[in-house]
Amino acid sequence: MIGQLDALAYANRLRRLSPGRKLLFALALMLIVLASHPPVQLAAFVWISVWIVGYARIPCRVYLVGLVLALSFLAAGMPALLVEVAPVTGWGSGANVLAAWQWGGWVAYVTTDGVARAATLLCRSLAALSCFYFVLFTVPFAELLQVLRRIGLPAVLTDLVMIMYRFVFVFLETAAWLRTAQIARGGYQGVRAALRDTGRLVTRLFGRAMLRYRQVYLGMMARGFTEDFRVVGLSAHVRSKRHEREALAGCVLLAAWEWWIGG
Amino acid sequence: MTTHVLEFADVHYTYPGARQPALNGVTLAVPAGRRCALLGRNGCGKSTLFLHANGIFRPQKGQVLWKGVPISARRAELQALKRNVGLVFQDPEQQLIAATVAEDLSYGLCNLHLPEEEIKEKVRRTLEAFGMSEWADTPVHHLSLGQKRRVALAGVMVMEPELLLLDEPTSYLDPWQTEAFVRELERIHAAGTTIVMATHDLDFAFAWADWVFVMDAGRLVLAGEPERVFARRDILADLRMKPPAVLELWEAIPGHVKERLRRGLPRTPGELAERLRSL
Repeated sequence: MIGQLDALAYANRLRRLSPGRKLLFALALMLIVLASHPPVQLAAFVWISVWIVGYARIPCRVYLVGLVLALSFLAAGMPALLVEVAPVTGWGSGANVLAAWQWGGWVAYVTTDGVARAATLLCRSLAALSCFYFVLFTVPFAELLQVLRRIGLPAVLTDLVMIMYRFVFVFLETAAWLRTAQIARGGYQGVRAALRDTGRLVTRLFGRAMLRYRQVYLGMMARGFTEDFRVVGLSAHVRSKRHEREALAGCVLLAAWEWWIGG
Repeated sequence: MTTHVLEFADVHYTYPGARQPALNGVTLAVPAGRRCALLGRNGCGKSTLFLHANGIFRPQKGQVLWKGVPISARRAELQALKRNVGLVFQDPEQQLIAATVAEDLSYGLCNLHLPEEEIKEKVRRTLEAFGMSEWADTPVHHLSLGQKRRVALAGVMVMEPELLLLDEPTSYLDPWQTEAFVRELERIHAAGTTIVMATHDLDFAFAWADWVFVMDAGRLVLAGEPERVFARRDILADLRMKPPAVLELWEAIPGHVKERLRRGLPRTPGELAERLRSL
């Protein structure tokens, strides 16, 4: 999944647009949806989805899987939002009860308020999530780092994140190799063996990580590492008047709609 | 008179916790402007020697000299040494650090605190020289092993070192990748860089190198022109080193035929075949 996300971010159609502008756009839209009502949020969701699937050409399936994956966490929290529990005596007073179940001295029930609350949360999550995915899918990680450096995030943080990003992939590859080797030798047969083999994999991976750490340290020393970690990118970005105009007009329109509803 | 870029004088080094010393009094001089092959079994101290050459390890006894001057422990001098001596590790993952190819190339230059415009210019020129301009913004982990090796080499060459050290650069490469890599080395050598390559491939060493070192158990055993080093069959046999195929073929040719072939040893089987055909 990480590898696929990364590959998409480097190959999407909006890649050449300035990462700073894309971030700004996503941030502005995020602020609007966080402060607005469900109709505006849903409109924003549809609009940004057009950007992701239509303009950036991210496969629909990948985007949907991403949404479903994230929303499943929300779904896990739904019962707590929807269902209320009270003693049999004097429950649900003054509320529009949609359904109720009784167990001994207790009643579990769902109210229209609860449903409305859940719907609001769903709209808000969906809209905010799609803004986040817009950044994730269209801004390559290295460029995101450059923006973070430019806006003055402490170097120690950006350096750490960069090294982590670089080695997540080395690590994943090593893990995949180890797993393949285990399977080739008849591992992962049955739940018990699978658990044991996974344990061994983690142990070996830790050993490899330590070895890798020492090697990389030597590699950095050989390339003249002193105390700070700095790189310069070459990437040239273009500006697209058409995309900028649409982004600006859309945000203004959504904000105006929200002002009209809210006012 | 040959001048030496780098010299080791009786260098000893034992890794913490190891019983055997990795370098056991190695004395070795790298002649300027040569293509040197460094031969030896695994664990003979080749990699440790390289780490000393680059100033990362300090000898526990003995000295390392750059152009006749002992390397001190002063930071500025070590930093200058790292610029003059480029080291390419066997595993490119070990030295590719940044996220994209262009950023990685800029890493060593940034450590020299050069102005940003100069860095960009050097990175751009190196990308072009290595024919990898279209990779500039590619993430390093999207590349193949052969491509990573070339990026690692480019990341070292962007520093314009006088001496290039390569630790088994052709291992795990397919013939096509190896050929591309060697072509790259030819270009680098032609531009005036001295090269030392650690390798296990004796055929390759005989064909490519014009100076050969043989190490064993942390010491230098043989050094000299390839013809002279490979003539010492007794020593090489002790180290389980088979002579290059072309030499064995050459020796199997009867003396009177040899006289009619052009003088001098052929370097590759192809060259030998060519000469035999022209008889």
